[in-house]
Amino acid sequence: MRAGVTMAGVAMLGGPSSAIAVAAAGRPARNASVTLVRDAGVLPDGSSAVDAIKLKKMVNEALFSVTGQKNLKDAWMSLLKPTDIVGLVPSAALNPTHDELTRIVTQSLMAGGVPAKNIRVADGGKGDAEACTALISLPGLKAHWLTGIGTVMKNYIMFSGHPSDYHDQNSSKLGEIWNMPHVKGKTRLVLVDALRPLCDKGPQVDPRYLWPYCGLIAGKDPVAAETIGLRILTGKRTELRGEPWPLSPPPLCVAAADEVYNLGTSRKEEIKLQQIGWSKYLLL
Amino acid sequence: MMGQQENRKNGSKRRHVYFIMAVLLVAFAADAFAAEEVSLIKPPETVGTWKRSGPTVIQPKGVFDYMDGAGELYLAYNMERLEAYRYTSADHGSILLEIYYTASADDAWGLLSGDWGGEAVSVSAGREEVPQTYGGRVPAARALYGAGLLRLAAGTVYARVLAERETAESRGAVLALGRAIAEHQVVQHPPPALVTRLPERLPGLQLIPERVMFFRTHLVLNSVYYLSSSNILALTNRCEAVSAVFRQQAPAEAEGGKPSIQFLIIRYPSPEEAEKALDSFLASYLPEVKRETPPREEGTLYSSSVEDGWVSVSRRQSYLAAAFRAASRDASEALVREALAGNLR
Repeated sequence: MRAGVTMAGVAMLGGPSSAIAVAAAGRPARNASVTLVRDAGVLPDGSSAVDAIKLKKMVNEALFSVTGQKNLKDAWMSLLKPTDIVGLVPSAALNPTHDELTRIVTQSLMAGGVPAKNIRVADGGKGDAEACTALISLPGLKAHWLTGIGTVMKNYIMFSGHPSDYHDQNSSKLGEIWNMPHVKGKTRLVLVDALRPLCDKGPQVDPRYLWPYCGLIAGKDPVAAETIGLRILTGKRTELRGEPWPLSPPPLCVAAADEVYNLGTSRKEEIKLQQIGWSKYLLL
Repeated sequence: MMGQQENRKNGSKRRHVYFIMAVLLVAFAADAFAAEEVSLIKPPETVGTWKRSGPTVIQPKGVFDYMDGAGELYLAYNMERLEAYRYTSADHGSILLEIYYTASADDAWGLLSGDWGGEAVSVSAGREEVPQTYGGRVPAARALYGAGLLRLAAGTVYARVLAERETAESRGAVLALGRAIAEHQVVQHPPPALVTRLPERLPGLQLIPERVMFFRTHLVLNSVYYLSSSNILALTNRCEAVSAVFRQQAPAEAEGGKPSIQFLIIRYPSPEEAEKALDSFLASYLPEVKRETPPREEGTLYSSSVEDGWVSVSRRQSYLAAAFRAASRDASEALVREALAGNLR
């Protein structure tokens, strides 16, 4: 492909141009930490059933690693304010977030001191984001036939109020949604459901491309978390085909989230990966 | 004089009536044929321990409510109607049967060709015909199974049969439903004729049948080979297009090419539209190539060495052919020239 064509596609993002700066070169260095927790037993015998006890342990390990804290109260309160209205944002389409994960995070928040009435699932439209003061993104790890990857950046598409504006050639603008006033600055944690990722892009689930990775990817930097997810997906695709099998279309939204929307880093050298648990078939 | 005028008027009226009758007769015949070809399929009420419910019938404008982002794929293949059934079994989970009625056998075949992976299975019980492969240019499979999912193309119908849990019993049930779908096909349809324009091999180049795909729109093209976010080849649902991959022999990488060439051949509704597409492609993808003001001489080859190898493109009549990632100019031009040679329909 012509790099000029693809990056021109990223550059010509339109929208409220005064708010968008195209600055791939010369952007300041960034650093991000991402935690990857895995447990082969969380999907017993590789089945679709989830071992909730093991998953809860994984969530705790991810949380403590990201926050540097040792108990739930300190961990959550390092991310949230006691009065926050917390919106959990699971993904429902294609390879949906496991219900068990949403449930466990809800229970963890309550154990960490967040009142139940202040916790809600915010997977609807713009109003859901407006009603919350803090967001926890819980997308399922998956490729996507229109955007390359349909995980972290795409998870807030409904918050735009006009999701169709971010399809086709405009999918590289997904990062714009994260900078909208009712979304900006609210995401305190990204926890990617990588228990059973989908490595080919659909548009419907093809079970040949699901596999039990048994992981959670956690971090405060959404672009870094997405980048680790992307590496896992492309690693699996290469393994399946026995040769490089890049995602098509390329996931332009990830580079744009970094270079244009300044939401985090997609550069490998700027991401420190903390790996906990099962290390076989890592794909990284 | 008046009598002659009267006769001419009556004769004209008769011809008018005959013409209308002929039109009605043709329309009736076409409708009858269409009804026979795309008769609404009635899947069995039970299969093994599974019992049917449905259908949910989805028209094109409602496809996004049914499957959100997936709908665009089926609209890109001229989906006319979708019927979804669910089979449930207390012991073995459920099976989702989706029957996509498309506008043509080319569209149904195209949907299958998006992914040739899986186990080729037979669903045309007892039928003697061997599917056309145009000399091995495409796989013979018309039904592919893997991990509980069966995908098949039969006439103008594309179907997905997906078991919630893969077991020996669910596999049997899925294949039985596939046979029930395939039974409706009156005649064996060949793959799209455009496939015949693919050279099977050239010196140093070998076509990979499992990477041949029929498509129409740029969204589908981008899902296998990304050119641009914009529709720089001016593709629409009225186009016919084939994407193919040719393996290059060494020293491909040594010369800056990739192990395989990506190749496209597209038939536009008219030479004028093909010419506009060529112009758009050259302006967007090969701006460094000097090009004349239209109208251009047909068959002119435009080539350039870009980041991942040589690119060549040319147009003849309504056809446009383009090769990407070639190790050499000779290779990319040879492919394009060969695909556009001879009589073009």
